[in-house]
Amino acid sequence: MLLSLFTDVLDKPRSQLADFAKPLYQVADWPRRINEWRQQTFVSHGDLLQENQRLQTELLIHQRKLQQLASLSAENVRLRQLLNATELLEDDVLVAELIGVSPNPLSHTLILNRGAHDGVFTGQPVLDAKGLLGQVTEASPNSARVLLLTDPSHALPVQVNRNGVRSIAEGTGDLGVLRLRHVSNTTDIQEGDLLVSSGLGQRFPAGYPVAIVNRVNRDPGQPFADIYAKPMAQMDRARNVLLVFDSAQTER
Amino acid sequence: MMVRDRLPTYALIALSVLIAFLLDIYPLAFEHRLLRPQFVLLVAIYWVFVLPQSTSITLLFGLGVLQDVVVGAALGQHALVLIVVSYLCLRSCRRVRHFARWQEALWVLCLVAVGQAISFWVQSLAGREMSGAQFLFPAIASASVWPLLSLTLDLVRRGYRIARQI
Repeated sequence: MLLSLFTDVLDKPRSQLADFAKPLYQVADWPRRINEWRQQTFVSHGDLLQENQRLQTELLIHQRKLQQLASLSAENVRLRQLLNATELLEDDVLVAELIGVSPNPLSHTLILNRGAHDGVFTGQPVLDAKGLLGQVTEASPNSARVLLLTDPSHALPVQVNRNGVRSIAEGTGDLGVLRLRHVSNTTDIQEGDLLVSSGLGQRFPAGYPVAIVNRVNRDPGQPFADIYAKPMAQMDRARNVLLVFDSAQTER
Repeated sequence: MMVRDRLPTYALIALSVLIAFLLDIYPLAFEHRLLRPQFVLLVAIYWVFVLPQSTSITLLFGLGVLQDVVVGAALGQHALVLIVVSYLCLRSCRRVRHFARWQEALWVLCLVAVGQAISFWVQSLAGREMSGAQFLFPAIASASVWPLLSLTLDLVRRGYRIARQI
C-alpha cells in the first residue's frame, strides 16, 4: 500500500476521492470567513474614506506606468519583428481562492477551490500578485492541490534578471528561503538580484519574478557557492491566486 | 442487541471523528504546524479503549485512507499508523483501564510517538526529511490534549449511556 509513493497507479482514484475533502476544508475555513466578513461589515466611515483615497492614488500611479507600457510593448513587438523572434503572447489566467493549507508540517501545499472542471490541469503554474507561487500537483474535479516553491521536493529553473545567468532554485522547507543549486564560485550573482523564471523546464512560463537573492556565501574551499533567495510571492498570506494558462500548453 | 440501540453510539463515533478531522485540517501558521495534536489518531485511540470488542481493523484502515486523502499524504500512510497504533491499544486496553488520566496521557504519548515515527519514516521515503527529535513535538502536544479530550468524550459518552466494553 505504500507503493503509492513510488508509482502513479493510485493517482487517479486518489484525485477523484480528494473531492470529498473539499467540504471539510470549506467548513474549516468558516472561522476565517466570518472574521473577514466582520472586518468588512463593521468598519468606520473614516477608514473606508482613507482606504479609498489610498487606492485612488495607487491607481493613478499604476495608470501612469500603464501609459508608458503601451508604447513600450509596441516598441518591443517592433524590435522583435526586426529580430524575427516569436511574439510573446499574453497568458490567460483564472482566479482561484485558497480554501485550505496542508496540515503536514513537512509539506508546503495549498488547496484551491477550482478543479479540473474549471480547466485546471496537473503541472499548471500558480501565481500571486507578487510572483510565482507554485504548481498544481493534483487536479481533482472541483479542487486542486498546489505545491509551493519552498517545498523541499520542489525545484524550478530560474534566471538572474540582471545578466541572464541560469540556475535552479530549490525549496528548503522554510517558507522564506529558496536555495540555488550548483552555482560555481565565480558566477556573477549578487545580493539583491531578481530571479525570474526562465521557462526552460517547459512548465513555468518565462519571465515571472520568483525570488530575490538575499545571501551569497562564497567559500573558496567549497566547489559551489551557497546562495539563498527570498521568494517574491507571499507564501503564507496569499488568499487569491492566479492559475496561468500558458498559450502553448492549451494548444497542445 | 438491536441495531437501533447502537445508533447513538455510531452517530457519536462518526461525529467525534468528523470534528477531529476539522480540527486536524484547521489552518495554522507554518511555524505552529508542528504543535498540532493528532486529533483523528487521538479519537481513534479513545474509541478503541472504550469499545475494544467492537473495534474493526478494516474500518480503521478505511478511516486511515480517508485521512490520507483529506490530508494529501501517500495513500496508506495514515492507515498504517492507525492500524499499528490501534493494535497496540487493543493489546494494552485492559491494563490502561486502571490508569489515572495523567498515566493514560503518558501511554498516549508513547502511542502517538510510535505513530509519528511511522508517518515520518514514510515521508522520508518521499524525500521530506525531518531533523532531530522534532517529530516528537506532535506526540507531546497530543499527550497534553489527551486529558481534556478524554474527559469531554467521557462526559458525552455517559450522557448517551454508552458503557465501556470489558
